[in-house]
Amino acid sequence: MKQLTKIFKTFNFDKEAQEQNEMILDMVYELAMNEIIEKEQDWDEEGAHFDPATKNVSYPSGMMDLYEKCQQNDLFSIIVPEKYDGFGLSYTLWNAVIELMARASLAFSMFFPSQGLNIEIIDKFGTPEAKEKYLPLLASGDAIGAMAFSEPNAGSDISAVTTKAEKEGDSYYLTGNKIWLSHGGAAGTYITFAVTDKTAGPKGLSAFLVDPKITKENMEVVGIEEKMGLHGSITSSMALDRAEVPKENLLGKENDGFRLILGSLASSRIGIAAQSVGISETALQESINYSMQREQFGRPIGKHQAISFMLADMATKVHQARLLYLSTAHMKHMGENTQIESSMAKYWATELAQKVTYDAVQVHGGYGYSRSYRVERLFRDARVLTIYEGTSEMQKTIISRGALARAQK
Amino acid sequence: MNILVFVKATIDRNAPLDPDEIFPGDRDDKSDVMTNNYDKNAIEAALRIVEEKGEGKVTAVCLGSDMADKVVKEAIAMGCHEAIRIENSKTEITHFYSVAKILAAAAKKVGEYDLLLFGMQSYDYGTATMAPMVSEFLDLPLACWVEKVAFNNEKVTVDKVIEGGIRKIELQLPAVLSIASSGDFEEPRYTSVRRIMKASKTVVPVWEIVDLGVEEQKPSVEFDDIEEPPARTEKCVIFDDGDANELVGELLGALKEKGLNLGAFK
Repeated sequence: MKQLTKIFKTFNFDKEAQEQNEMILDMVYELAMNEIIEKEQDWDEEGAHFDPATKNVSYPSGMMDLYEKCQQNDLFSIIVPEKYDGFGLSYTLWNAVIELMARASLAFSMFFPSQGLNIEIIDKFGTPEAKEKYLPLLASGDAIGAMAFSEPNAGSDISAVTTKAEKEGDSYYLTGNKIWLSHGGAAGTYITFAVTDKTAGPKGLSAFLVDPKITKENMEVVGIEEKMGLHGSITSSMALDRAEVPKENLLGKENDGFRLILGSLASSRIGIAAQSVGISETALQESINYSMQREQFGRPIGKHQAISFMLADMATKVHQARLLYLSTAHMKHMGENTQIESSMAKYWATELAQKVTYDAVQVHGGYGYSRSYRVERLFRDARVLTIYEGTSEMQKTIISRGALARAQK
Repeated sequence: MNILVFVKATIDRNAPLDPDEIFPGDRDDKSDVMTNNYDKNAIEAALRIVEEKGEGKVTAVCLGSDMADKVVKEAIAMGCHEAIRIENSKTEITHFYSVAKILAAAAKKVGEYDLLLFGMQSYDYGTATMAPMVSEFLDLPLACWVEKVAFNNEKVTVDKVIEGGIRKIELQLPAVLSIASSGDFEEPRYTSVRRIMKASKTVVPVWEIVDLGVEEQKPSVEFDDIEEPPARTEKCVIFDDGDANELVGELLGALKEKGLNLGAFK
């Protein structure tokens, strides 16, 4: 925790904001480390639920109780503008909150990055009516925000979506299939995009805010994914069959959805970097604790150079990744364009998390391979980080294109 | 219902141990200081009483240096309406008798109150003496380790924890209570972003000890020196391989070898 607040002191927050940041981080740390981490193993074992008869999804036992505590503590309102019942605080703080949540449970931390992206996109591109209606709901957490981008044949190439939107009267009607939806079926707002002009390729895509209270049964969960890790988080496939979206819920201009969504993804990538640092920090702490208790050849294994050097490498990687995501988040807070830096933070922090959680299992030896030890879950959970919100390969594509463009200037 | 709740700044249990810096005022880093966790149960009790009554005010009172600002702000961020810090930077008075005198004088200065609440003990010294001493100095009824309260006109009935059970007693208000970390107030609430924003904008009044009319008492206990215990060199030996009867024999043999007086076990 000290490492985190130490870095915060280097940012240009005034005294009052600094004090607010510290108090909020203390509160989140307490909630995460006293309550959420206790449940993490149970959530992993129980997993999320789907009832094919009712098409209802639900989170593992007790997860929503802790979600409610986050609501009571106003955690979802941090970056929402004051005008819409939020506090208009910094992205720097918001991402540090994500790190602390991910230290306790990566599955639980999944509530945050997509909430942030919903808030940001609606605030930037929503109609006045949509802002008025949905931002207070997202701020209070009464609506969980979800993103519905991927389709069976549109993953990294998100311009290949086939879901179509037909305009009739004052509404659009969306038809198609979406996959890999975190919180799909449980969310109150979904940001998605669909084809409004099939002759124009990526320039014929529009972004929409889908409200399940309006679509009713015309948008439903088809199933949930059985995953390698992140068992506590819901990952759904959903089908839209003439799902109604009123024209007030169009985001940005018609046919401008691709540019709009692509531009916004940079923001949530900082959050994934923050998640990676959270899970890595826990892997590091677990390894330190274990290596000081476990004795082999007459002394704690942490005092053997082979292990102590591994711990040194892990600690350095965690610090490096933390600096990357926090400085990118702060750049964003200061109004800078962070398109490339966000990809760098996402790429680097998620890759480091693979190595740190891998080494954590190694430090634990045979016990690290056992389900009774936390590092086994951390290793499984961390694997998704280099994949979702754009694979490492996509991040490198963005970074190299950006670097080339900069070189040509 | 006016409630004063007394809160103490202690060194964070996770902060590195330093025998030369045992008081919050000794530390340079505010993150080494935390609210005595038992006091949070007292804050919870105060807030719940006021909420259930639908009227009243909770004021947090803290004796400490400016390192304790964090603690009074946290009290406000939990929901206390007001807070007062009594400046204690110059002398860092820590002997319990004087602290109790100062807190009693602060209560007198506030004047109007129905309840004075304390945590059941402090996290650092754990003497659990503040509530009894303050009640004595102010000549008020006292109940310690209170788990539950019920009000009836000018009286409060409390469930207090005693060894092996609960004792119900009735006290005339105003009264002094120390709140247990079990029972109704077991789970203190968190701060919230909304209340943190309010707390950071609140200017907490700072009172000086001299203005309270308290003369410093001679400490009954003085610290000569505080040092870390020497590192233990003994190895832990576990007897777990074999028949229990034989293992007990082995254990006793090993203890005998160490020169321990085994009394009847020979």
